[in-house]
Parts: sequence; C-alpha cells; structure tokens
Amino acid sequence: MRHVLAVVDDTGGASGVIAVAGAMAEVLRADVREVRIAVGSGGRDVETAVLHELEQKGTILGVLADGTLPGDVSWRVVRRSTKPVILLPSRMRTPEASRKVISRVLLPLDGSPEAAAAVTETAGLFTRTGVDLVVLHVFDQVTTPRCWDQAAHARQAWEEEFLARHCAHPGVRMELRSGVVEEQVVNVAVEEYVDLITLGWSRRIGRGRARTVRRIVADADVPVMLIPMTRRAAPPPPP
Amino acid sequence: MDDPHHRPYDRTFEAVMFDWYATGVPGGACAVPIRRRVAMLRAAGVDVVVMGDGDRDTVGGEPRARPDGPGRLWLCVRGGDGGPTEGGPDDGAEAVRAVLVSLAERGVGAGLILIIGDRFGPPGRGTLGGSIPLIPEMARATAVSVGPEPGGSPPEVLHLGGGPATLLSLLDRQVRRRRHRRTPGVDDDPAWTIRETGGDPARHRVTEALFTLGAGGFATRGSVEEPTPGSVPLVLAAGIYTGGGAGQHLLPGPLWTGLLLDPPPEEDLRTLDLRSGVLTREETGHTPPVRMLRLACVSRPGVVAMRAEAGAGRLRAGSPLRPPPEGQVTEGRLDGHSWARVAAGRAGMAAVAAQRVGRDDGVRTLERIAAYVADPARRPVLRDAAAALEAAERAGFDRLLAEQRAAWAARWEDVDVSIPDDPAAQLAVRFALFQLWNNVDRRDEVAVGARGLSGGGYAGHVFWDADVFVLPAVASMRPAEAGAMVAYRLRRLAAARARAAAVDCAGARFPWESAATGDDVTPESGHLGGEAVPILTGQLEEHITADIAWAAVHHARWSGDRGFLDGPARPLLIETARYWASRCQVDDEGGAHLGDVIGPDEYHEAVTDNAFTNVMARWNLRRAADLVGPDHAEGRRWRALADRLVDGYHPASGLYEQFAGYFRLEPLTMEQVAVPPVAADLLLGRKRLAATQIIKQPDVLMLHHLVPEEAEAGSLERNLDFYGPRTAHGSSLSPAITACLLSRAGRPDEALDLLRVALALDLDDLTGTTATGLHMATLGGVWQALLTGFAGARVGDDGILRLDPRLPTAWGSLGLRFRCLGRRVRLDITRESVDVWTDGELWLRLDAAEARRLDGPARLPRRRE
Repeated sequence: MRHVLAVVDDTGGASGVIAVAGAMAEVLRADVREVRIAVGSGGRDVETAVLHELEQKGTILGVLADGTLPGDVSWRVVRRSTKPVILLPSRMRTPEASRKVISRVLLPLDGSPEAAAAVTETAGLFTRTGVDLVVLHVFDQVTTPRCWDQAAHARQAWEEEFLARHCAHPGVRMELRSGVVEEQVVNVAVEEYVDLITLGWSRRIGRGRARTVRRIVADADVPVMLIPMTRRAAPPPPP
Repeated sequence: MDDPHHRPYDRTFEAVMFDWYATGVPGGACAVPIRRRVAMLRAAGVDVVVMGDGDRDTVGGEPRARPDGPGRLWLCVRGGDGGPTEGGPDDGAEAVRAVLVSLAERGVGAGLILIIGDRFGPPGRGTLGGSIPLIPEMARATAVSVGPEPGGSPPEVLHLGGGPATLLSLLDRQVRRRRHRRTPGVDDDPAWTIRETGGDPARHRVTEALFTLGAGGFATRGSVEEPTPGSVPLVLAAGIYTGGGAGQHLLPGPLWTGLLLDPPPEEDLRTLDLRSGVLTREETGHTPPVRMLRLACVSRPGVVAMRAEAGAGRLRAGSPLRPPPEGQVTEGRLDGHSWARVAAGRAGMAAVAAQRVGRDDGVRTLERIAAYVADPARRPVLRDAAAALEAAERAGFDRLLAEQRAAWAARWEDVDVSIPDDPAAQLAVRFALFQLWNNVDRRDEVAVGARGLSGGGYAGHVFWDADVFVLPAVASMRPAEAGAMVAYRLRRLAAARARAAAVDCAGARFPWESAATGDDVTPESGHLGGEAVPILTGQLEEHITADIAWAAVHHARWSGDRGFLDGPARPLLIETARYWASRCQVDDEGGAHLGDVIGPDEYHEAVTDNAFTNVMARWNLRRAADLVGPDHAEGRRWRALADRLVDGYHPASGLYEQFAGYFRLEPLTMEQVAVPPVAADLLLGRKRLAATQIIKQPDVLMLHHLVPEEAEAGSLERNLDFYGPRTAHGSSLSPAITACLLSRAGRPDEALDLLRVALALDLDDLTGTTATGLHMATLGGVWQALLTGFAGARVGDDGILRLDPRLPTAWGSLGLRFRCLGRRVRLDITRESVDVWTDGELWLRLDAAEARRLDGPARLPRRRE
C-alpha cells in the first residue's frame, strides 16, 4: 500500500498538513498515513521517528509544517530524507489557508541536469494525472543567455529547447522571468494561482541553492515540495 | 577476440593498393585470378593501385586486362633496383604521393585506402622499406601485410600473412561488400570531421542541426534514424513556406531517413565528414554494429541517399517515406516506388523513394534513395522526382557517393582555409563553409532564413542576416548562389514597392522579415525573457532597404559582373533610393533626417538619425545617382539630399553619435554589467537598458564594415574604442563582425578572441538554441572575419582586389582559397609575404603598394605588420 505521510503535531499545523497530504494522496492515488508527534518530544527523537516513517517502503512522500516541530527538525528531516517532503510554510497552518486539491504546480528549474533529473518523475506524474504544470526559469547574472536575437523567435526557440532538455512532458507551460530567483518563484506562484511549488534540491543547507529554497519556503503562500537530488550529472549546459 | 565486424580491413575502401609481384603474382604464378579481381573492383568503382618493379611499361603490362570501369587503375613503379631506399629520393614514394593527390581530387582521403603488401619490415626500419612505401601522408590508411615478416611488422601495419591467397581474399571482401550494399565509411581525418558520441542527451537536438545535410535547395536535419523522444527530424526546402502573416514558416517535407532499430543503439559515434559531405553513424559496444551513411547529392539537386546495416533481427526498413509533423500528406505508389507529397496552400513538396533490403554475413542491409521536388506556387510534379530518382538509381549508390566526394572535393579545391597553428579554428571555419554551402545551394533564387534549412527556428524568415552577413561570404564561395540571393530580393521588388506606398513613400521599402511573397512577416509581439514586449522592428528597422541595395552592389563587385547593376539590379538601386528620398525630412536649416527608426542596436528603439541607417541611406542615394548619371535630374536630387543627410559625426571627438541624444544617455559600459556576450536586455530589462549607452551589437561600427568609404578616414579606431566596451554582443550576429572590425583596426589578437566565440556559437551551442537551427549569419560572419578581417580582402568598383592582412600573434600563417572577380584565388599569408595564385588575370593591391596584374603564382613581399 502506498501512502503519503502526514506528520502532525499539537501546535496548530495539523489540519493544514492533513489537507495537503490528502490532496497529494489524491493526485498520487495513495492513502494518507498520519504520524502524530507529541508535544514535549525531544528534537532528535522526533527527527529519528519521522525519518524512520519516511523510509518505510510504502511511504511516497512526507508532509510537514515548517517551523512547528522542536528545534529545526523540519529542515533536518528534509535534509536527510531520501524521499520528497512537502513543507507547509508557517502562514498555511489553517485548513482554510490550505489547498484542498492540487490542480496547478509550479516547477522552477535552474537549467541544471541535476535539478531536472530530480523532478522529472514527479513532473511526469503530475502531467499524467491532469495537473497543470508550469515550469519557471529565472534569468539571473549566471543564467542569462548569451544572445536573444529577436523577442518572438528567440523566446520560442529558447523555450522549446529548454523544455525538451529539462521537462519533456506534454502539456507543460513555461514562464520566464529575470531577477532574483526566490523572489520570482514566490511572485509567479501567486500570479499563476498554483497549489504547490516543486523544487529539486541538493539537501545541503547553506549552499546557494539551499538558501534559495529556504527563502522560498519562508515566503511562499503555498506548500513547497522538495525533491532530493541524488544523481550527479555533467556540468549544466546552456540554457 | 577477433570480431569479424570490427576488423580494420573489413570496411569498404575506395582504393586498394597492392604489390603485384610480392603479394599478388609471385614468380611463375598465374596472374588470372588477380586480374579478375582488379577488373571486378574497378567495375564496382574501386580505384586500384598496382605497385611493381622495373619500368612503367613492364608494370603496365602485368595487369593487362583493363576493362573500363568507374574505378581507375594506377601503375606505380618502385624506384631503383627493386626497392626504394630509405631517406633518399624514391620513385615509389613519389608515385604514391601522386596517387594520393589524384585520389584527394576526387574526395578520397588516405583513410579510405587499403594497402596490401609484404616486406614492410621490422619496427624501426622505416616506413619506406617495404613493398609499398608507407609515406607519412598515408598514416590513416589501413596497411596489411600478407608476407611472412620474420622480423615483425611496423606498428601501423596489420600482419595477416598468408601470401597471395590472403590478398585475393581481401580483394574479394571488397567486391563482396559492394555487391551486398554494405555501408561505407569515411576517412576519420581530424582536420575534416566533426564527431559526436551521443553521450550527452542535451546535445541530441543540437547535433541534429549541426549534422544537417543539404544540396539543391533541400536539406535534411541530422536526426538519428530510429524514432527517438525529443528528436526533430525535418526536411526543408528553400523558399517553400506555409501559413500566413507572421506565422508563415518553412513547410516540412516527407521524411526519408526513418528506420526501425530494435533495440536502438545505446552508444554510437556520429561523424560529419566535411570533406566529402556525408554523415555516418556507427554503434559502439554492440556487434554487429548499426552503421549508417547518408548524403544529399550535390550534383543531383533534390536527390538523397543512405545505406544502413545492423544485425539481421534489429533492422526493419519500414516505409521509405514518412509523414512530416504537419501539412496535408498524400501518399501512393508510382512505377513501383513510394511517393509522398505535402501541400500547404499553393506550396508543396514531394518525394519519390526506392529502397532495397539485403543480407550479408548476419547483417541486414538497407539502401534507400529518394528524390525531392518542391514548388512555392503549385503542386510539385511527381514525375520530375521520379525521373531524378530513376537516374540516381541507374547510377547506383556507389556512383552517387563517388560523385558526392568529387563534388565536395571540387568545392574545397576552390574555397578553403588553412591555419596550421590552430587546427581547432581551422576545423570550425570549415564547418561554417560547409553549412553555408549546404544551406545556400540554389542558383535561380534562394531565400536564406536566419537558421537556413537546418531547423524550424525563426520560421525560415529572411532578415538582413542574409544580405549583410551571409551574402558577402557566399559571394566569395559561390558567385551564382550569391546572385540567387539577390534574385530573391529582386523578385520581391513589387511587394517592396507596395510597402513603400502603404506608408506614403515612393520607391521600394523591403520588409524586416520576409518569406514567400516579400510582404513583411515580422511578428508584432514577443518576449524578452518573461516580459511581453511589442516588436517594432517590422515597422522601424528600415536600414534593411539600403542593406539589400548594398548586397546587390557587393555581389556585382565580387563577381566582377559589371553589367549586373546596369541590368537586373538597376530597378532595385533606383527604387530603394526613391524610398529614401521620399522618407527623409529636411529641416529649416537644410539638414536631412530620418526619424523614428531602429538601428542594428535594437536596444534603443524609435530613435532619430541613427548613424548607420542615415549613412546607409546616404550611400544608397549616392550609389543610385552614380548609376543614373549626372544628366538625370532625379539623380542630382538624390545626390544633393545625400549630402544633407546628417550622420552624427563629431569632428572634435572623431565619434559618430549612434543616434540623436545617444551621448546624453547614462554612460554605462559592459564592465559594470556582465561579461559579454550576454543578452543585456534580459539582464537589465528593456526600459533600463534604453536609458543607457549599452548596445546589442555594432551599429555605428557596421558602417565601417559595410561602407568604409562613407565613414570619416581614421574614425574606425576611435569608434571601436568607444563603442566596443558598450557592446553586449547580445546578438549572435555580433561577435564575428566585431572580430572583423577589430582586425581592420589593427587589433587581430582581440579579433581572434571574438572569432573563437563565433566559431563556438553553434558547435558548442553557446546560445542554447542551436537545436532549432544553425545561426547562418554567424557562419557567414566567420568567413567574413577571415577574408575581410584578417586578410583584409576588399573589392572596389575598380575591379581590383585589395589585401591588407593582419594576423593574430598565435597564427604564423593563414591560407585562404576563395572566388573573386571571376577567378579562383589562393592566398598564403605570412608576416613577411603573401603568396598569391590565381587561375587567370587578376588585379591585386597588397597593403599600400601599387596594384599589379597577376596570373598564376606570385610572391608579394609585405610592407608592414
């Protein structure tokens, strides 16, 4: 039996976690399994317990509220888990604020093969189950293309190739932005009314991309699914 | 372990060289078997080289039977008293060299030669000691010894032993390979081949564009044969469009390369052989491997051919023609062959194909030949394609391949580059030339889109890229094709007249983006990254009208066709001048202005008095005035107006102001923004950028490139110093032409740095968009950077070729072959001298020396550098 693990505690985030876990379970055609953390449990114990549940064979992914578990347990779990984890930003702790269905997902991709590889299976799953998938790429000082010859033709050519390399699933829509990645991810999530942000991440707290991920989780109005990157690939080619 | 499918001698060779006495017919033996093989090989198109002792008559008498055959027979005499001597003059070695030269003239490199001999001798004895002299030029040949070699054979020689029996067996294998239509290979010469292992999935579609093969106005992308996710196989034809308005795009034709391979190759090596114009593929890690060779016949417009082979259970041919991704497809059979036709509106493309499937030694073989026809105005005639196919079938695949090699050899004989100190740059320049030939190969009329025929990018729309970047390169490669590019514009003069009339102007105004009819097909909106923006180039980027007039003049100058401007191009020059005359506004003080335009720097829109546009318009007016003569009243008005056109030149600074008000913008340089090349508009945003002096590509400097005679003397250097640091090179057109300008300004080392960017643009996919097609303007710009930039080659109205070479420090010499003024010209440039060869009379002026008449070879000393 496959299930989505809902990690709930007594601090008020439970209903949101359960709602998101239920919505994801519907997409994944899985059940929800709740794991309740008692108030007063030690951080290390909670981390161990949650990771143990996550690593169970039937667990597809876990859902946690950011910042409610003792210490920095949520991030420690995310860092050590080999399975995807959805973090609920702190502002989403009420059932009213939680999405009941996942119908549109934002998938920010930085153009690296690692990030694309991490999310490709999930992206395929979303598109197969009718979820509207919006791929976002943000041009910054590092990722801005060398040339952009003509605004209509260049966009078409660039987008076509980016999707072919990084998210070759039917029906995917692409958004491009320029600026600070975390800000643009949060902005586009609002503009596009997405129900979930899905990110591939290196699981290394403190590195550039991880900082970006933490900012997104802190500022987003929707749950953020973090999919650990496990595959090492060649250096990212442009775009 | 001996794998019969990977034996070095179990390949298809184009020439076989063997020793008559030692390995073929030892003393007293019967010569009949060997004569029969020689005859069969020659009949199959294989060149045979017989090495023998004694004098030429003696050697010539030995093979006796010399049936006619496409394959040639060479008789080589080993020198002296029975064997060449090491290190000294050697008749045998010289004879072999002569054979190699002759083979090379037919496009057969050393890697396609099988050498069979004996007595090659022990390692260290030297390569001249055996029955066949292994001269260094034959390093890539496959050498086999069938003799005893008691002392061992040199490492480059494969020792099989077995004497004459083995020789006969090896020759039989070659005959058999041809009879069974086995897939030939190429000469793996690193100076001529682009290789891809297919290991990086991100490169797959890039490779499809890089490996495009084209001829006769048709091109096939280099997609792999089996269905592959993400693959974009396309066959496109020049000038065959579908759709309307801005959505007009090249019509994909029926696909001819599709095969079913089960399982598909996991790893392979694909090789584009620039020298012979063929693409090959060989699977690695599997036996028998999948092998493929394909070509687009240069000498038979529209004819394409391929051979493929794989393990008998893996390869299924399927239908030889498959439907393209769009268009109305009809299919059927005609005279026993498959045909398919794609129609869209009035345009259409059709193909007729034949294929043969066979079997040999556990391998299934496939041979497929197809012929394409296309018509922009009506349904293409299948019978025309069928006739072309029938002729190709009669010739046979081997003949088509031989023709292909010879045709490409002839191209490279006329146009080539040699940079001994920089083989990587040399190969990349050859790639640029190769793809220019592939994409511009028509003599009646040719529409050269921004990505040529190598992909669907830019919809096949024709920009100034064609006239200013591609045409000057083609003019020095294939004058007739350059004429066809001008013809494309001339035949759309009526549309240009209508466009001018639509904006209440006289004359002719050409569209910024053009396709089938010559109407403007520029999209009206697009995206800078994520920012939706209006596209104003269709309305405002007017310099293209003068650019097209310039292209016609450039073609006339380089081809030496003095009647062209007075004849076919005359209406174009006159009508474009009329346009400018009606477009200019004269102020109260008599100054003439052009307002609301976009220059080549597209970061600043709707500007007034863009220096490039104004100077090009001025040049256009003056040129037309010259054409009509001083007695022509309208011409006198053009000249007077031209003299009043402001050009933004500031004598005190020596700078041209790019447009009115440019110098008042924020003086930002790229040093403060990012390392170029970079799309600065994506980085900074459109509005922010428009308030700065950052520019997309050379703008003022383009007038120094195109019409230096219109620019103030000595102004290039100052303007390069000023505008260079402000240039983002955010256009793919920019690096190559800037390299050209840097060379002219005496900064060839900086020029080489930028040339390398241009050379890598497609080969390394620097833009991330090569998958949608090659950047034709960059390819043309690369050749301009070599010829006009480093060699300083220009042709004026006086019919004199001027040279002013500037070599970068890293290059000790630069060799160029090109067409000019109806002649074939070869240059070998060093810092001390320029060796020139022409195939007829040519007036040439080197550096500041007097012009001199040349005919044949000459060494001209340099005055400076």
